[in-house]
Amino acid sequence: MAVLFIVTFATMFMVDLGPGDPASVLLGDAITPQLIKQVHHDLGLDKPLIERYGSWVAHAATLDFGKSYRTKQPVWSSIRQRLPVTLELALLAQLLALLVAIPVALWTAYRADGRLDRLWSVGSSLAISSPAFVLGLVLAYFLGVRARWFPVTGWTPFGQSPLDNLRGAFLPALTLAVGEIAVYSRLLRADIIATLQEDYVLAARSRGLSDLYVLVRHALRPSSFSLLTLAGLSLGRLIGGAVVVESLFALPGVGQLLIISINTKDVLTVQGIVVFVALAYVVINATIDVGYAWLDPRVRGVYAR
Amino acid sequence: MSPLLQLRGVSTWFETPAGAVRAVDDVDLTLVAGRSLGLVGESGSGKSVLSRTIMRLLPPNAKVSGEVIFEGRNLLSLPRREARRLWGAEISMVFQDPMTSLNPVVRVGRQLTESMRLHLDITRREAQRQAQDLLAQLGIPEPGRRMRGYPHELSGGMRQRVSIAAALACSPQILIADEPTTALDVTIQRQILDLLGRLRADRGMAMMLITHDLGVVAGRTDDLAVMYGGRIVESGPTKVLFRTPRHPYTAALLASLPRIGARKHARLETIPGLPPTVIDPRGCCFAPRCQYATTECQQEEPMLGEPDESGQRFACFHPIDAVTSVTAGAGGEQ
Repeated sequence: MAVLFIVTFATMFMVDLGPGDPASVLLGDAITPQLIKQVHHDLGLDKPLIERYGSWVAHAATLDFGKSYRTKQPVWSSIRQRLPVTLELALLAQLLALLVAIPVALWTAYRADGRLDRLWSVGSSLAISSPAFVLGLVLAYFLGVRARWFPVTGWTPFGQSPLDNLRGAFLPALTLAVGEIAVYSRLLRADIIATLQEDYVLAARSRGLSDLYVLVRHALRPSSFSLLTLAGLSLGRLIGGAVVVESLFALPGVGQLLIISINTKDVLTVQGIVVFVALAYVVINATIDVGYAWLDPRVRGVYAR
Repeated sequence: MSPLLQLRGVSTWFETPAGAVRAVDDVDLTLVAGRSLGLVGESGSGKSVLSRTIMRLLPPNAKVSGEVIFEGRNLLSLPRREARRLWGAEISMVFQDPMTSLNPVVRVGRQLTESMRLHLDITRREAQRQAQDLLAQLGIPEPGRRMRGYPHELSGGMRQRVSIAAALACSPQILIADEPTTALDVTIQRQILDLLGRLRADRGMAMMLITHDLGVVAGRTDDLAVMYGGRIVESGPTKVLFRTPRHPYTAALLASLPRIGARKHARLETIPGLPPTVIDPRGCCFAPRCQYATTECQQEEPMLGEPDESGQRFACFHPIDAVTSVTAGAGGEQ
């Protein structure tokens, strides 16, 4: 709660400090000092920062996050409008990342220091160190422009055409996933290698079980705890909007909204997004705890019986 | 007296930056069908590495030479796919610490039945029935409920019973028990050892019981092999070794046992010094700690001799002769 206050106040303070004026954005060319004053009064911007913050908190407590200076739309509904895009992107990226990272981690742990493991170690360092805007452009160029497999920009709502929707979401999701794949696979690999030295893995092997069975049915689960934590954190980050990727692929998501709002000094929308992200983290952390219980019966034991 | 498992010249060493560490050095050992063999040695003598060599559970930096013959096949050179058909089905292993040898996130039932379904080709239901019977046989109350539970819900003694059940699930001919009671409370140790002895007798199974505790093998194993610095220094029938140890190390081990009837508050005998470092050994590895050692012992390595009429073998240039050894090893078992 205290964190929420600090974060929202800091957001308002910083956006306020920055250059620019929402009034000038709203008024466009027809700008006069008189009109600016009028707009400031209408939006309550003539009051001191502290007072504005106080009134925002009072309204936020009743789940009223105010209206955007720019669009006059309630902040909450404009976030909700863009949420499906961001949410789908985030989940799709996570899914892709896990789908690739888990098998790769299993193999590179099983054949540690093998040829593929070394190759992957180089490849993943490369992936981690390449920024999203470079990676996104490269992927868009080869898979979108050259191969024409996926559209480079734009968004089709899922309800309209599920196939087009997934095709459109693929490139941005892949861009987001590449970095995650690299991190997840390295992390999980290290944990699996440690698990493979455990007595219970040796015991399972001494019972004649196949290597694949031991890896998947004995070693994977107790090795996934840190992966779960990391995946949860990164999902939280992505729900706040993948700013760079959404801008790059022109997707109408929360990240794009955030960028526009910051540029137009639309403080209330920025505030709304900040609160939303904070809440999303809380929900995700609770989900991670449930995930731990699912992974590890020793955690569960407290509730059972 | 047909040999069931035969180790011939088995050596295991680890490639380390400091050089090759020889953990097991040219070991010959025979496990006879239906009999029990105790493998005794202090920490670092290579007995656990030997058991893991037999089961091929060594880490990748380990190198192995020699042969482990089971039913005419060398377990060390068999393709993994074929070796896997024997592990669990014909040869299995019980580990030292039941807290770590059961998978904490896998139900007890699956850990028991997975090898049955693999080796015995039976239905899930049948495997579950057999596993439940086995748990009951091993003295685990409410076996049905235990099967559905996880290892952390069990006490240490119960867990070790479950790991024994998992090892015995497919009725193997050979059980290798690597310090099966070291991690348990003293009161539980005896129960588990008696249980292992009973199961072995009932099933006519051969067992290799690895321990650092001579008290564990006394009266429980038919044969005994004493390991030191990765080598077998003395072997033979347990009774004979307890009565007339020929190798000074065996005698010293026996002398360090606490015994009933000794003077109150008498100090336990200890063996001075530490086990040898196993990098590039030369001569008899026990020589630095041996009161009988001569220059010969430091220069040359004594080989394990041929068995005498009682089946005893030893690797020593200056064995304790049968007469003096009666006092040196007095009070062991009898």
